[in-house]
Parts: sequence; structure tokens; C-alpha cells
Amino acid sequence: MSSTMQDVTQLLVAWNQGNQDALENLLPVVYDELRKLARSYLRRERVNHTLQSTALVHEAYLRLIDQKQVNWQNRAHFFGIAAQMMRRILVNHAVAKQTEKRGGEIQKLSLDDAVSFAQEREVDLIALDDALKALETLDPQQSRIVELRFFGGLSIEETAEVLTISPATVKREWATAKLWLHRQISREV
Amino acid sequence: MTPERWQLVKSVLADALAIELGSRAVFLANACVGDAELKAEVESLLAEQEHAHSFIEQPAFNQEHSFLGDETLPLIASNNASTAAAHHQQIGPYKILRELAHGGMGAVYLAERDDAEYRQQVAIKLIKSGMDSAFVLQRFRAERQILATLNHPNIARLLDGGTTADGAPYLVMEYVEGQPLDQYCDNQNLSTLARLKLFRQVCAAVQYAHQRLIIHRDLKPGNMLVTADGVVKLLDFGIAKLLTGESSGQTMDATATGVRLMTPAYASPEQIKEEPITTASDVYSLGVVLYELLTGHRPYHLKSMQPQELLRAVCETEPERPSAAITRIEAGRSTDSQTPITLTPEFVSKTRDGQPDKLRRRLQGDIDNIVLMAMRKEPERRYASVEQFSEDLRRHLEGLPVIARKDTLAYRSGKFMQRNTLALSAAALILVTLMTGIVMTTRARARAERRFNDVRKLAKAVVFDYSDAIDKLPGSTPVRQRIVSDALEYLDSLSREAGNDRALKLELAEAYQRIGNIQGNGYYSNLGDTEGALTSYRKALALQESLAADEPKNLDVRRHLARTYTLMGDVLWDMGKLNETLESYNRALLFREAAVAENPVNVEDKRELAKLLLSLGDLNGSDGLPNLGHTDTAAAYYKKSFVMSEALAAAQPQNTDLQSDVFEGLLRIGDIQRITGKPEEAARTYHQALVMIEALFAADPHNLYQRTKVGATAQRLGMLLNDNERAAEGLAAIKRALAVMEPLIASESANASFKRNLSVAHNHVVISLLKLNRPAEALAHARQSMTIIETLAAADGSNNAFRSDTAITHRRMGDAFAQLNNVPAALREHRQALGLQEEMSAESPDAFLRENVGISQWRVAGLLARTGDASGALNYYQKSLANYDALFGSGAQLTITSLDYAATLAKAAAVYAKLNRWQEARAAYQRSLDVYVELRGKGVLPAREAGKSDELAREIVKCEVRLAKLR
Repeated sequence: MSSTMQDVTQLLVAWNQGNQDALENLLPVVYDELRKLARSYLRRERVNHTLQSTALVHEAYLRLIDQKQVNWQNRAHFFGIAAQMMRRILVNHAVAKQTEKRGGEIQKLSLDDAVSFAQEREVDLIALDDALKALETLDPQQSRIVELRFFGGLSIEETAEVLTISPATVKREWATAKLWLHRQISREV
Repeated sequence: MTPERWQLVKSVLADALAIELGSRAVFLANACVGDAELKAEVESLLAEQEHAHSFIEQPAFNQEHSFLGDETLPLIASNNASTAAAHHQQIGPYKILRELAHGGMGAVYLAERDDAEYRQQVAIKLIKSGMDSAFVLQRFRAERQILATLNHPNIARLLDGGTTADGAPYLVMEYVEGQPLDQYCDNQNLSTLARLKLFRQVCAAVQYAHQRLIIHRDLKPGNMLVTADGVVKLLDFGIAKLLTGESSGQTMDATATGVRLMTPAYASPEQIKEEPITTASDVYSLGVVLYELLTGHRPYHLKSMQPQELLRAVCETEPERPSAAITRIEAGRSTDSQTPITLTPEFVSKTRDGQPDKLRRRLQGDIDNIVLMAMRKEPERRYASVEQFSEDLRRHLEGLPVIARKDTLAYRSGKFMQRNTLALSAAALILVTLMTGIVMTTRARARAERRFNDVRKLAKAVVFDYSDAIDKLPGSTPVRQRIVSDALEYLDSLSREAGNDRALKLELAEAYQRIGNIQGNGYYSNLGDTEGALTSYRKALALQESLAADEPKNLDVRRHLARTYTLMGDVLWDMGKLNETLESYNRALLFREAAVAENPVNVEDKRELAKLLLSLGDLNGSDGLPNLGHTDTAAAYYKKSFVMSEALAAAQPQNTDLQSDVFEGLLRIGDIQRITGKPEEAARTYHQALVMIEALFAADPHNLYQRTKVGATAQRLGMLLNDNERAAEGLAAIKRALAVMEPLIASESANASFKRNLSVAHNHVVISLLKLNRPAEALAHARQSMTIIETLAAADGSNNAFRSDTAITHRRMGDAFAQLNNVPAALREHRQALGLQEEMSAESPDAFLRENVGISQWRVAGLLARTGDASGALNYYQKSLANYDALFGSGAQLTITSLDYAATLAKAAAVYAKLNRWQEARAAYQRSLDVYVELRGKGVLPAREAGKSDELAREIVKCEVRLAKLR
């Protein structure tokens, strides 16, 4: 087992036991790992192949966490953080691309030059991010569900597990959140 | 929009979405009567549906989702996975290098993660389409977590899994470069000795997985690779289960189940017959593997794969002894190239021990017996575990006697157990005769000093070592009962002869103590005979007290006294004699404290003191055990004990025993936090405790105590979650506890304390399920619990813990019936619970029992109210309240109890109101409100109860309005 794995596992467990400092130390490691994985995935992406946030997040989990030492709550919390981090990575990337297109001088963030995948994307990640923030003020849990599903790539069941609610609730919340977010984004444009 | 408003909009929107398009307008008109804005809002959102269909459905990191429908990706539509591979360069993030093998379930490829940062070769098993992939996947998700925990040097790890773009499931496993076990042995010309040693590596891996409740199901030489370094790696653990899933309600195409996926030559009779598969099935397959490894022959001559022939051969034919099998001349296949060859005695001996005669002698006797014992037709007559099988091989390798005996016709006719017990008791009889011999000899000790000591050593071995060793063997209870009665017989005769022999007295006392533990101490795996245990402890005390009187300064004697008093306290407690328990523990405490004061550097003395403090804490206020109801005293004892244990553990961080003491302390502190209404703190403490015990258990998976404690801790956590309206998580935690406990119960078929724990766990599952509104399942668990606990209570009528549990189980059944709207059955169960509890409460001042009487009373009252019998309900509410008053009068003031009390007051008030007795209703509501206010003042009112005071205040106002009108 790598020492990173040991450390991250310890941090995750400590955080679950209520140690808030542990979270602060945990976030950068998870962030870095996801970014590294994302970069390697994207490079490979030119050879045609499906890839998913799901794979990224699960893989980061397998790499970072010693599964012998964590329980299901730890696991759920990890996926929770990972989804949040994926959101940050992808939105940062989108912002960077947008800045670049506008010819801005701001240094590029996160993902390197290997790809340009966000520009043709159907969903405007920046607008979605803003809409999600708005949704959060109305219904934090719903916003969280979208984060886990869309950015974390978690299935309905996994999302339910992370939030300890029923899959039926996730489905219901997801369906209504989609409509609300879609309207919100359409209005912005 | 406000969050509140959005909740409303969302709720109408979700309902509208669930309704057919055509009926929506009518639905909306009804749902939004008087709120045009609501209707407009919902309609505006519904209008988005047309465009939002695929919106954010693909996770953010997917590449252009347009290519998902693209045909450029090769699909594995073909039934032949190996041809599909020709199109497949990539599976998941892995690049295919070449095909390793293909078979019934699909093909296996060597693959590589083809990115620069991580280079790793893996084996990918691609499941053939035509297998029900949705089913396989679902199963895979459920099992992946479990399989991922298999981390053993002799097991190839399952790394990952998923589906290809076209939905074919695949599994990613550690890639092992090596030769199949049989081939390796032949290529290396390994002797029988070397083969046995290698085979024990296989056993270690299988045993490890069995400890984690994972059965291989497809053990064969091809799944056991030996690397160039001579290390065995087992492949495909649990994979067979993923692909067959016989335990699931869903079944696949009948032809694809069971044995078709198994390699028939290694399948056990129960697998062939498609009966339930257990770890014993792996024992069988291992037996076949060993048979073949040692003889070069398969145990059965299978000419075809016809089911009838298979069934007859495997389930009915007795295999030839290995030593005889090697003399056969028959057609076979070489292990490396699978080319047809003729197996002759010379041929199979050449790669083994050289000469046929030499090989035959090597196998004759022990090996014949061991292999055939593993391969017995009836699972229960094989080795009880792979560990036992491997252990017998070790004994053989070291020239020690083995367990395996030649199977005879008499055994086969079902006489095994009976004969075995007889054989064992015959052995015991001989021992007793020997002991009687000692007694005779003691009289002439001067002449026979040496012989006396020899025999005494033997006696000690029987009581201590023999009994300890058997303790860990599954299903050994009848034998232990026999040992106890025989041992008592010779101990009694020895004590009569002990005279002034100090050493003998000490030994005898210790022996009585141990016998007492085996008879009925709940802390040990015991026979449930509490009266017998007390008698034995008293005999031990008499011997020790007489020694202490002779040597008041002797520290060791005092330690022994402390131990015996503690053990006696344990048993008295189980019998519900709390005051006697306290007295016994306090005596032990005096001796322990004296020992620590006199010898402060002795770690063991301190440990024992810390443990005793925990017991005293439990006796004063443990939740779930009969206790004196003094929570504060309990908390103080726990704290003192925890501080001691922590200091000891900090001084020796590598000492796992000290760690487990700390764990025990944590668990108790968590309990106190929980019952005094600090769920957040309690959850943290439990988590901490669970992490500790899981680490200890993982490091020593054979440890029965730790396994039990993982279960107990998960169960506590589950209880806590249940109490805090997180029943789904609670259910998961308790089911986890059940999963850890159930395999033990199955093997310890007559063990009282394990069974009791299982019954308690079932009861907690009932609580979770009822909170999740799943009463039918809850009832099933309650019934399982009842079956267990009733049997225990019937076997040991003086054990109050069993009776008290029986009452609680009646309550769980009652609650389940109540939720199923079967009020008469619910009433019957609660009344039975109440009857038992009243009976016990009359005999014992136990706060736990008294509280439970109160709880059962308000349960009955609630049900009577449901039938419309208001005066009957009122009667029981009053009884319940009187009980609580008495309880508080005696000083028991737990938050949870107070909440029950307040709730009962409110319910009683409601009945008064129904009977138009407004004055009394008002008074009861007021008292209830007072309790809430008081709890809030102390800062211990759970958040979910926060709204109660408002509710009660409203009820009080209602009462006053009524009263004013009456005036």
C-alpha cells in the first residue's frame, strides 16, 4: 500500500469522526488525483472510447483509499467529496477555455493543453454551475443530487447511498431539478 | 422564490410528472385550486420537459455524448467472445494485449492500462453476451465491495469491473504469470512432501476468504497458479457466485445455473445436486484437487458429461483410496499439453516420489484418510473448515496424529455423531480412571511423588488445554458437556484429598473456576448452566479463602480471589441478582485495588482493574443489560477505566490486547453518550470504536472475540442510527452485524451467548424495518429472534437475561403486528411481554425491567385506544405513568426514558380529552410539557423533538378553551 493511500485513508476516517482539519488536508489530495486522472483520460480520449466521471471517481477511490480500512459511510463521504471536486475541476476548465477564447491573459487553470473538450459541449458548464448555486439556496439536497449525478457520475443507487435517502427520492428530486435547472439556464442565455 | 415555496412547487411538479400527459391538466387544476401562481409555475417547468429530456443525463466528463449512439465502437454482439476480441482493442481504460484463455463464461485477456502515468498489466474477464448482463452487473455491484476486501498474498485481487460500451460486463483482475498448480508440480517433479506444502498455501488463501464469508465455488488446478518464485495465487474468487447467484431471488436461464459454470470434475455433490453451497463445498473441491495432485488420477471415471452419470459418480460412488488409485492403469491427459496419455503406476510415480511402491507407502494411511475426509459426500462430515483440513496436513507433515479416520460403513449409515461422542467419552472415562489413580497415589506420595506429578500434569492438560482447544472447535458443545461432568467428578475427589497441599489447592481452585466459566459464564462460550457455575465458583472461593487465611500477604492468592469474585458476579448478574452482583464485584475491587497499590508497575494488574471498572460501570447503568439505573456512577466508572486503558495502550502501542481494552472503554462511553441524549457524540465515539476493532479484527481474522465485537459495535451504531431516525443506515449497520455473527452461530450450534446475541441483533433489525414501514419483513425477523431466545430460555430457566429478552422479542412481534394492523395479535404479544416483565420485576429491583414494564403498559394502552376502549387504555396509561414515577423516584433519570415518559403523558392526556375529562387532560399535557422544557434546559433534547413543546402548548390551550366553555 502506498503511503499516500495510507494517509488519505486516515484523513477520510478522521474526517468522518468529526475532525474538520482532516477535510482540509483531504481535499487537495483528492483534487490532484482527479485532475491527474482526468488528464490521462483525456489524452487517451482521442482514441475513441467512452469515459465517464463514474470511472474517474471510482478509480480515484480505488487508488486513494485502502478499502480494508474504511466502512460504507467513509466510502459515501469520499464520493461526496469527489463529485464536488469534479465539479470544481470541470468548471475551472470551462472558465479557462472561455477566457482563452476571449483572448484573456489569465493563466490557464487545471487541465492542460491536451484537450479541448468543453467547447463543443452541449451543456454550458459555467451556466450550469451558476444555476446549481441558485438551486442550492432553494434546496441544498437537490443541488447535491445533481452534483453527485452529473459531476460525480454516480448512479441513482449510488447517489441514494451517499445521501442515505431512497433511490425513489433521488429519482423524483432529479427529475424536478432537471426541469428547474434547464429553465434557469435557458433564461440566463 | 422561497425554499418553502419551492418545496410546494416541487411536490406538485413531481406528482404531475408521474401522471399521464392527458390527465395532467385536470390534476393541476385540482392541485392548485386557489393558487394560480403555483399552477403557472408548475406549467412553466413542465414546458421545459420537451427540451430537457437528455439534459445533464450524461455525466459531465463524458466525451461528446453524440458518439454514444455511434457504431464506430465495436460491439460484442457475437456469442463468441474471442472473435469479439479481434475488434476489441480497448475495454474500459485498459488496452487489450492478447487473449489468455476462453471458456464457458467468456474470454480472459491480458490487458494494460495504456496511459503514461500508470502502467499496470491486468487480466480482464469479459463476460460472454448471452449471459444476462443486467443480472451479472447487478450482482457484480453488490459483490464488488466484498471481493475488493480480499487482500491476501495468495489471492489474485479483483481490481475493477464495469461494462463495455455495448453493455457487456467485465471484471479486471490482478494478472498473475504462472503455471497451473498441477502442471507446476509435474514440471518440477515435486515430491509428495513438497506438493503438500504447496497445497497448504492454497488452503491458507481459501481459509482467509472463508473468514470473510466468501466461497470460491470453482476451485480447480487451473484457478491456482504458481509463480516463478513458487508462490501460489488463487484466481477467480467469488466469481462463480457473481455469475450464478443461486442465493438471489432472480435466476437466470436454468441451463446456465449451477454446475454448468462449475468444472464438473471438482464439483461437490451439493453443487451437482444444486443444493445450498457452503464453505464445505470448497473443502470438497480442495480434496479433489489434492487427490489429483498426489495421485495423478481423478477420483471418478467420468466418460461423458451427462448429468445422470455425473450425479451417480459424484454423489453415489465412493472414490478409491489415493494409495490404491496410483496402481490403476487408465487413459488420462498430461497436465501441461492436455494430450492423451496412459497413466501407469510408473508414470505417475516418476514425477512424484520416484518408485510406485514408495509413493504408495507415502500415501497409505494418513493421506488416504485426510483426502477422503475432505471429499466425504455429506458436507457436515467433511473437515469443519479448510483450516482444519490444512491443520491435519500439517500434523501429518510433522509426524503427529491426524484427526481424519478411515470412513467406515457404520459411519456412512449415519452413526457418525453418536459413535464419535461415544469414542470421546470413552477417552474421558480412561482419564477419570487415571485421576482416581492419582488420588490413590496421593496417599503414598512419598513413594510416588514423580508419578503423581505426571498425572497431575495430565489432569491439568485435560481441564485447561483440552477444553480450551475444543472451545474453538465448532459444534463441540456436547463434548464439552461431557468434559465438564467428568472433570467435576475428579476435581471433587481430588479436593477431598488435597489436605494442606498449597499448590494443589491453587490448581484445583483454578480448575473449578474454569469449569464454572464453561458451565454458565456469559463472557465465555458456555453451556448455559448458571446454577452449576455458581456452585463451582463457590468451591473455588472456599479453596482460595482458606489459602488467603494462611497467607494474608500473598498477592497471587488475592489476584485469584478477585478473579473468582468477578466471575461469580458475572453469573449472578445473568441471573438478575443485581445487589449480590454488586457485592461480588466490590469484593473483587478491593483485591484488585490492593494489588495495583502494592505493585504499581504490573500492567496485568492494572488491566484487570480497568476491566473490573467497566463491569461495575455496566452494572450501574449499562443500556440493554439489567442494571441498577445509576447512569452517572456508570459514566464515572467508565471514565476511570478508559483513562487507565488509554495510558496502558499509549505505553505499548503494538500491544493489541491493550488496544482492545481501549476499544471496550470507548464502546461504553459511546453507550452513555447515546442514552443520555448526545447522539452526535455517541456516533463519533462508536465510529472511533468501530475503526479500532475493525483494524484489530483485520489483523487477526481468526479471533472469535474480535469478530463478535465488530458485530456488537456495528449493532450499537445501528441502534443509534435507528434511534435518530436514520433507520435505513441503521438497518445496514445491523445487517452487517448479523453478517459477522451468523456464521458463528451456525457452527456453535449449542452455544448460549452467541445465540442470545443473534436474537438481539434480529430484534434491532425489526426496529429498523418498522421505522422503514416494512412490517412483514420485520415480523419474520422477530419470529427468528423468538425461536432462538425461547429455546435458550427453556434450556436455562433461571437465566433472567433470556427471559427478559423473550419479553422484548414479544414486544417486537407486537409492534410488527400493530403496523400490520393486526391489533388483536399485537395486544396478545405486548400482554405476554408485560406478564413476563412484571413477573421478573417483582423478583428484582432492576431499573431496566421496571422501565420495560412501563413501556409494555403504554404499548398495551395505545392498542386499546386503537380498538376504541378508552377506559381500558386510560387504565394502562395510569399504570405506566405510576411505574415511571417510581423509576424516577429511585433515581433513574435517562433522557430516553424521560422522553418516553413525556410521550406517555401526552398520550394519556389525549385519552382523557377523548373522555371529556379536560381537567386531567390539561394536567397531563402540562406535565409532559414540563419534561420537554426541562430536557431542553439541560441541552439534551434531541432536535427532532424540538417541535413538541409547541404542539403541547396548543393542546393545553385547547383544554383551557373547553374548560372555559364548560364553566
